[in-house]
Amino acid sequence: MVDAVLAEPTTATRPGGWRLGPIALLAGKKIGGALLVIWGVVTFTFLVVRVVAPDPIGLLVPPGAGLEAREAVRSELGLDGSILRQYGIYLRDLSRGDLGISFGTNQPVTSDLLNRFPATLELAVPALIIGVVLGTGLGVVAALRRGKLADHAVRVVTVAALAMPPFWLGLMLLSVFFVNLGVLPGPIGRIPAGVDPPPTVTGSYVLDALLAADTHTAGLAAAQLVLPVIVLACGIFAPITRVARSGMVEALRSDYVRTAHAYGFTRRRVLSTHALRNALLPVITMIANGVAFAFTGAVLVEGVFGWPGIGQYALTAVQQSDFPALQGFVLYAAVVYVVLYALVDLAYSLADPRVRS
Amino acid sequence: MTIPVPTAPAGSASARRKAGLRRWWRHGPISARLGASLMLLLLVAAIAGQLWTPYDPHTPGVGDPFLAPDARYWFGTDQAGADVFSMTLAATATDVWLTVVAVVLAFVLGGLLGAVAGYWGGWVDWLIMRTTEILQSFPALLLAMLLVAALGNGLGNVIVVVAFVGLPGYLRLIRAEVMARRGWEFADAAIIAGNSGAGVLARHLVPNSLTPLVSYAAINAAWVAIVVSSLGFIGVGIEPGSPEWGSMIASGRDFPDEYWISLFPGVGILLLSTAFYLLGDGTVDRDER
Amino acid sequence: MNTSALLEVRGLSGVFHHPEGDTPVLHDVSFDLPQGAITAVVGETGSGKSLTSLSILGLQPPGLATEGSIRFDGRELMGLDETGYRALRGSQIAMVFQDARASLNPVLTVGRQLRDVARLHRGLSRRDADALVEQNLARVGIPEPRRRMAQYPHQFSGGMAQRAMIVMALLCEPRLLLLDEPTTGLDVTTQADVMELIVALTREAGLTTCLVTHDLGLVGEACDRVVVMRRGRVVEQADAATFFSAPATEYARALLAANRDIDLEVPS
Repeated sequence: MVDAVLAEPTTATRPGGWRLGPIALLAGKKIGGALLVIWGVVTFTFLVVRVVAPDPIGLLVPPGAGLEAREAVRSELGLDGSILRQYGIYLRDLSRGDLGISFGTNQPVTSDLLNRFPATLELAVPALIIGVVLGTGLGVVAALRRGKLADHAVRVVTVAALAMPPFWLGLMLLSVFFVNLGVLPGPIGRIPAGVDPPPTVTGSYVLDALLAADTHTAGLAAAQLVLPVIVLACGIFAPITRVARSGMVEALRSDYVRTAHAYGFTRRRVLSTHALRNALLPVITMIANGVAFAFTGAVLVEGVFGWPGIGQYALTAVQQSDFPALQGFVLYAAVVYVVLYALVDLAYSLADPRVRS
Repeated sequence: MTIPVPTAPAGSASARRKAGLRRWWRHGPISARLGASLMLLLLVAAIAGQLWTPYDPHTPGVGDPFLAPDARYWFGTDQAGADVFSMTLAATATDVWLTVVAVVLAFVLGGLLGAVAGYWGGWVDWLIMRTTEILQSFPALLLAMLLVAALGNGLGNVIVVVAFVGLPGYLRLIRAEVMARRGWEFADAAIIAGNSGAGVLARHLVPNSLTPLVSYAAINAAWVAIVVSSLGFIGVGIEPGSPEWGSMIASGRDFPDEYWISLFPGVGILLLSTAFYLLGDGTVDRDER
Repeated sequence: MNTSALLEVRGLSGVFHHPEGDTPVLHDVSFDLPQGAITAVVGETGSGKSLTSLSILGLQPPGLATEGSIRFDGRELMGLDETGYRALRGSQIAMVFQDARASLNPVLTVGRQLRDVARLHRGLSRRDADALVEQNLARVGIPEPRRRMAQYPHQFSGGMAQRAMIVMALLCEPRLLLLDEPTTGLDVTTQADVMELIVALTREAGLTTCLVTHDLGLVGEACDRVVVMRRGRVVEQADAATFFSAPATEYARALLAANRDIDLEVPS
């Protein structure tokens, strides 16, 4: 009797069964791993900021302040007491969603991040769309024209985009289109000074202005977007192109594509049903890298264009030793990474039957 | 009267290496040849920049401020009247040196840790891999900025930090490589067949594991060059105004009309990064391109 | 055999073009595939036998330039354009490849891939195509064909996948069946089963068949004619009976002897 029960495969799902299915188990493991990574990131940053970095108090009190004033600031910020106690307090606050007060803005870091997120999003979304479409398209074209002029041209463009420092590209584009030609606005953020931002609906100035039927403001906001989006898209499309090209080259050489040709399918059909789907599987990871870059890595692009997003916030935080802000940004980035790569796993299990089983 | 030129015996290692190099040069991909030429050019520029520059790169006022590029000042002059060409040339060594040393350091340390993780397995592997995962969940550039800001300025700190940030990639690669070759079966076979240990190492193990690593390192170096200059650009780690391409670009940022102050150091970064990229591309197996 | 040839290969030569120079791989290859017969093209790896069979359908790898004449049912195939070949592929000439699992698309179900072929060549509705596929899978000995159709290639064993590929070829009702090393990579028992299936099905349908293989043992009783290739040349062609009793060339004798050695080793 007992043996029979034990011999039953654990994967069997019985109606009303209490057993954790393998999927739930896997999900539990993944979530556990994700929490571990986030904890590790938070702790590592805490250690760097509180132990390795120089004491920030000197930056926060007026020069010549007395010892008492310094200690008052210190205890106000939770920077007194043993490092373990500080860590405990930090984790306690964190669990309540309290990331502390930014030294730079004197605002809660949580609300600072939330306020800046729409700006980052407004930049990231168009850049990602352009980057992914352009990257995939160029990669596929290069593979189809392998060894021909188009392939070489794509390779030159790709290598140049990869080797280009984004902050320099931004400055050079500004020099051409703003300073010399005067066709695009300068690095003054999302909207020219003196123009009121549209009422918030989506968080995107362009969309919100259009919703408010204010085409003038929408045009101004869109003009501000052009150059930073180009620079950001430049950093996104090139890795996608490389992977899409090599995936497509491999697919075109594959036995199953040969089979499809051998059974009389049109070239178009072979490419769309057989080659493309396989070729684009590895592109999923590169798209995720692009998303991670657009949401967390575009620190200098936002910096160069005075774009008031999360990246610029982090950049200012580094330059001003604004540690609560930095810690908040790092946590945000870790959450973005963890969620993103969970989505990548999910995407692969949907797109590739070999991963599913 | 002709004196016979002494030639190395046909089988000697140096002759073989030379022949191998020549063959690579003749049949290697164009991109790799271009990368090698660019690299050579940059190395020459780096050395030349230390020995001789048309003007003293550190002295302002060798010309009037904001002179556009001309025959006397090839790359123009900056806001202080320093010669941009001399500064760009002098800065070459900084960027090349920082990039190369950081990559080598990451390669060696990542290699050691990766080999340890792959060879021992078990909890050592678990610990190293989880730590790696955590490090890779940081935006790389920001992690570098954070660490340099915490450690303070200094080129040494920049090297250590950039190497630290790049380390996980090497670690993973070498770990995988070691795990795949755990048995070193082909090495055993070669030793049984009568080869010496060192010979086996040189002829079988190193080439077998090294090619993908060198290719990765070159492509990684292309990225490291950009990270190094980014640190200079935002002025962490590298003192503002020091002969480094990124900080030169930063100093030209306030003078958008005088594009040349930022343009030429940026071209330097572009060339360095491109050179590494092409070299990495060229070492990838021909079939994979 | 007095029947006329369905396929005539005459003076086929092929050269691989590299930047470093040209490598000739096929030299003046000529042979016939008689109507309704099974012809074996045998040779070692690199003898050019696979390239020859791929060239018939215009599937040779890019970079291989071919010259000569290949006539199918009296029609010249060399120099056909993409559309011309497409009219032949599947419906007139079907091909089964080595490594069946790699020959199937990993991200589509086996049923979907078979159904697509059935719909393309038979003009069937989705439902009818599925029914036909199911029936044919059962015919080649695949149990639970409905369930199998919903599976992906990686869930198939090599033998099962090759059966599915044979079904794909038969679904087209071709006039000529090309088999390129159809049993290589399968274990010995499966090899025999698959071979038996191929012979039974082609005899039953009266199909003209070309079996490309390096394994003479496999060819044995199955085939009617043997073409031996070596280093890109045809070195011998004869009726099977003649070939096995009195091979004309030294090379064929060596091949046969090697094969017999292997056969002798099996019982020990």
